[in-house]
Amino acid sequence: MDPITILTMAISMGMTAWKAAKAAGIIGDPEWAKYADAGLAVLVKGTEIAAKIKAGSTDYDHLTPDEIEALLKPASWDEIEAKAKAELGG
Amino acid sequence: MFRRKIDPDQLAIALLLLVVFVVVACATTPIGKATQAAHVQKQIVEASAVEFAKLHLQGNVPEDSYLKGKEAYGKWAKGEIAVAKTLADWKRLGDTESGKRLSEALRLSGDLFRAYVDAVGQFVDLKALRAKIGG
Repeated sequence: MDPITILTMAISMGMTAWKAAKAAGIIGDPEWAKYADAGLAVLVKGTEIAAKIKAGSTDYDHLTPDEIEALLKPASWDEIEAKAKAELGG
Repeated sequence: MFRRKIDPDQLAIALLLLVVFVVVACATTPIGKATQAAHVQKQIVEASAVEFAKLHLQGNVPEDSYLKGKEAYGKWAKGEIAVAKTLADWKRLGDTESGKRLSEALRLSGDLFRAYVDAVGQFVDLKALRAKIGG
């Protein structure tokens, strides 16, 4: 499991516990609670951004051998020429 | 606890730094880096080959230069297939022998890449393509 997934899970569990504690009146409404709320909101946003960055890029570390071969398979010259013609509009 | 006043902006920055640290902690392994390097090279070569073919279709590359570029691409492609296979073997086996075969394939691929650049580099701006692709 990668660090972003672990952090996301930890934050998710922390948020659930935090909301449950507030709803049950265990925490009350002290001054520092608003900082904790703000901090958790930033962490959630940050991990969302990190997860999006990660999802949009190739995870080179965890490719299987078959995926490596498929990723690095070069295009044939016919495919190159076909793409060139397509980009020139036919 | 939390008696000292904390600036919410400072807290936000500290927490974002923590997230950045976690992202950086996802740094690639040696095989991940080798795969990424080979992938970036492949993207540069293929994108430049398309540009080269376009220039030829537009009449801006002489026929003999085009054939040399095409031949250099073919040789590079064979080298890239060898790199892909040895990388995959290294990932499967992880032994010294497969590591040696990968080193040899990477060395050969580097030579073929340079030969390809010699063939098409005078027609295509490879630096601009690299900047466009990244890596």
